[in-house]
Amino acid sequence: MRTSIAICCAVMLSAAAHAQDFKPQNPECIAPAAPGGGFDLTCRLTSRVLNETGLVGPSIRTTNMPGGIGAVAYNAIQAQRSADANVIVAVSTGSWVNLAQGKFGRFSESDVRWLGAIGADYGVLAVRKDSRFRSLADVVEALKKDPASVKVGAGGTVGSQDWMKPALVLKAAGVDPRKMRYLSYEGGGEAMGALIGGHIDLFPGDASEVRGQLEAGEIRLLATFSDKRLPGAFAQAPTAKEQGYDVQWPIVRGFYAPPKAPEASYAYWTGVLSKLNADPRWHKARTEQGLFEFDMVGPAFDAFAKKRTADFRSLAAEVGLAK
Amino acid sequence: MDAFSALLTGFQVALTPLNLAVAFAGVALGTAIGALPGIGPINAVALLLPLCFALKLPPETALILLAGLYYGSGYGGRISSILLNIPGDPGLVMTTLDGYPLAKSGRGAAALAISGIGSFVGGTSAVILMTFLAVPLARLAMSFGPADYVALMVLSFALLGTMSEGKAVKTWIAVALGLLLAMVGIDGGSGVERFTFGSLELLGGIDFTSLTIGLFAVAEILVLAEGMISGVVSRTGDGARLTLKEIVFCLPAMLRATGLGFFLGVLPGTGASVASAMAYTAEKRISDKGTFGKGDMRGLAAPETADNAAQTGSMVPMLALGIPGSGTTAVMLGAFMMYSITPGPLLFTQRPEVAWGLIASMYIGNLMLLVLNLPLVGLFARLLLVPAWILYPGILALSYAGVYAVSNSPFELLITTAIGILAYLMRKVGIPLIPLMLAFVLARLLEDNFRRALSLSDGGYEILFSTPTSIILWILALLAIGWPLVRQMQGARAPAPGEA
Amino acid sequence: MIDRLVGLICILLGSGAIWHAQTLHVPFAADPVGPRLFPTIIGAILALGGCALVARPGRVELEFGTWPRALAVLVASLIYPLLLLPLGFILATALLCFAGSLAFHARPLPAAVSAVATAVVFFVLLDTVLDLPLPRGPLGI
Repeated sequence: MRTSIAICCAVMLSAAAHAQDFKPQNPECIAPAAPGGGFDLTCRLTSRVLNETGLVGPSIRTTNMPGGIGAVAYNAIQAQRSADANVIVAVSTGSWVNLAQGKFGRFSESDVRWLGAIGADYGVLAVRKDSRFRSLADVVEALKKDPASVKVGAGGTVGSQDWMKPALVLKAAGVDPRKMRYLSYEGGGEAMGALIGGHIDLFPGDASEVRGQLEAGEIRLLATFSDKRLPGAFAQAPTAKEQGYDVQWPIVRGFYAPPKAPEASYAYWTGVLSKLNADPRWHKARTEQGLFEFDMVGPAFDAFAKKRTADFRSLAAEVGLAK
Repeated sequence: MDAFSALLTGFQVALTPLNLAVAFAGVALGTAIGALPGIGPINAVALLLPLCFALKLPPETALILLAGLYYGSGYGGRISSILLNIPGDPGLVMTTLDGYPLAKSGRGAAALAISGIGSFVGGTSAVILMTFLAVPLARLAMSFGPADYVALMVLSFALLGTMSEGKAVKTWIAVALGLLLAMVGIDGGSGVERFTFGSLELLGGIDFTSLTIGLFAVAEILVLAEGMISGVVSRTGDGARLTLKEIVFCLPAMLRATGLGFFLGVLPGTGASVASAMAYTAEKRISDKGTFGKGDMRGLAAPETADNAAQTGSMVPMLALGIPGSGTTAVMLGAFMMYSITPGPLLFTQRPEVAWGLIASMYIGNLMLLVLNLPLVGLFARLLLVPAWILYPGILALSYAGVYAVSNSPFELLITTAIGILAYLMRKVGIPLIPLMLAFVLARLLEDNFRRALSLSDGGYEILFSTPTSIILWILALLAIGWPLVRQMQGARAPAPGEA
Repeated sequence: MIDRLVGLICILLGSGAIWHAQTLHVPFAADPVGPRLFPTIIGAILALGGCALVARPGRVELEFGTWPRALAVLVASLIYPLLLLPLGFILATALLCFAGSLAFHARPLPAAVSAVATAVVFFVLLDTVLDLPLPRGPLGI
């Protein structure tokens, strides 16, 4: 974390040097989702705070471009706006998962300029309050005995990040992830309903979407897929790491710029995001979105995005999901 | 009595001048936005969410506004459905079936009025059910498993048989086409791309709204442009006013539709479009004497009532358990979180003013909608006085603009037009459109739940009949299929009733 | 005759769907049913429906009115998406409305006036009021 802070400071300094060179005209945030989707809120709320804090002067407008968890927007940027200095595009871990599986067309993770993250949600493994599983070890033991006996259900498709989370647990336990019995639902809400209704055993959801049920004691968390324990209501939930399975799954939310965006605009946007991440008003807004701190801007984020995508690619190739 | 006193506190919140004004603004805006084709309730709620925040509205006030928008939008869309045979949202397709014939016979205003009353009955009865039974109902809905959904979908398909007109084989072709269109996109259960032909835009499947607009708006306007059929332009809709007798006549249909719609709304996964479709087909099965589809008031009241009851119903799992049962309630959950309110089972105890204030405002909002809409039906019917050369190109442009505004994708517009061409050709060769639409709605629910059920049973088919609920639904499905046969046999003996 | 043709198209579509389902590359069986079953059944229903129609066609008379008018609306609809970005929303929409109005028997001048008015109203409604950005043309409108 300390190195990333150092890098951030370096970015901020270089951004300050370039900041005079660039002022955005009609800035725009592209949300690769329909109004109401996760990316849409990322864009609209971040833009609001950027404008209210005065970090960005002219008001940022949100354009919706749904399709393929970012695939359509990714291709539209390459085709039509590859040098646009005034546009930023929302991205999340889910986009990298699909990018790694060749679902973004012919472009790779090196074809855009990764700006920075503004926060992260974390994957969790939830069970119903009266579940036979008390810890991650119980689940692993049952999976080793008979993978089909544990019914996993979540909002994503096979190969999506909701599938990847339990797949990594299986892999860490030495079980073939392809043997997992996975039920795909239309969104995390339906999967949570199926968990509470007792139809599925495990729900690999996100921390923000299970909080209400956790606080009410409807569900228990067997593990959070974070580096350290999460704060607040999640403090009682152990991480997977401390139970001996080093599985981490931050759902990072951030932005990228077009591939040929000028240096000055790249410096401007990374500088803005660094200042945003340091602003207490953003900390409040971030918590309201259900996000945790994830402070990573500029080269560090660039390296992170490429590393994650490469990891997902090898995992996908291992189970035969990559094209 | 407990819920009753809690509701009273709720009214104290909802009746403050600010909240009353906001509820009014919400339902009025909802009606207006709902009238725009292509921009549905989910978009309306999402677009106004940042505004609530910017205006620094207190949480209960913001939610009252968003909820008003949500159920108000159901009112707006019916105007073009009834008067022009052009539904802008998937939930309104069934409204056209008897609404448009009524408008054509000059009773557009009466049709608008009965649909408004139906929506009021559906909405208000649903809120009453929600007030007293929210938590147990939400629990019941969660116990509804994949096998139960499969049986429910089979019942829906069985009821679809009522929509058969002309050659039965053409209805089957329409159903198959609808099912096939629903297969496009990434398959959740395997991550495999089906029928996408390498197109990134098709990964998420064919958009429901684009399908509705292509099938009904584009095709209708193409046919109208040919001049083969005339719109309703010759009449101004000031025919006989709605009589009390007609309202009473529709009441049983409305009550049946309320129950069905509310139940389908509470179930996660099934929403207003499934509810209105099932309500119409079930009502047709129960009370059709050859009048449905030709301007039967009950055929209009049933889907309209179910639509609003389902919208209210979908708020039940959100408020009681913090589980969004539909796309729109998922956005509203986001609104809760932005106000640092954790939606979930503790909402009613931790933040009663929010939960009960919202519920109380729904009583008021539904009443406001009725009061706002009934006097205006005559005015809405005047829409038909707009010359065709302004009206129809305008609706076409508005439909395309709405699709484009939320997708920014020229490809999406081309898909919409392509579906319009398909629908135009289908009309020419006598393949009905409604079964295609309904099959599209039900297809994913059927496939996904069928596969979930067999996942749970490791491939054993006995799971499909494993719960009492599923067995009841299977029996109902058999009855729905068998009933016409029984009637035919009776008809062979007695003089035939007017059945096709 | 027409029914036979429709039947043939359905048979083709249905067999195509079945073929497509069989050629799907499924990396591993995440559920016992798999993604092939439903498209196969649906394709079979469609093809069987087509066969029935070919075997016992009904009498369908294709009736077209003044079809060039419908064609004009259709062509305008197909060009519209391609014009949106280069011309901007207002101009492209006005052209669509203009073509549509002419197809609905309007005289050119009133058609042009109402087309421009419609486009401007929709732009204000969607872009300004609902804050959904629409493409602006070369003139910034």
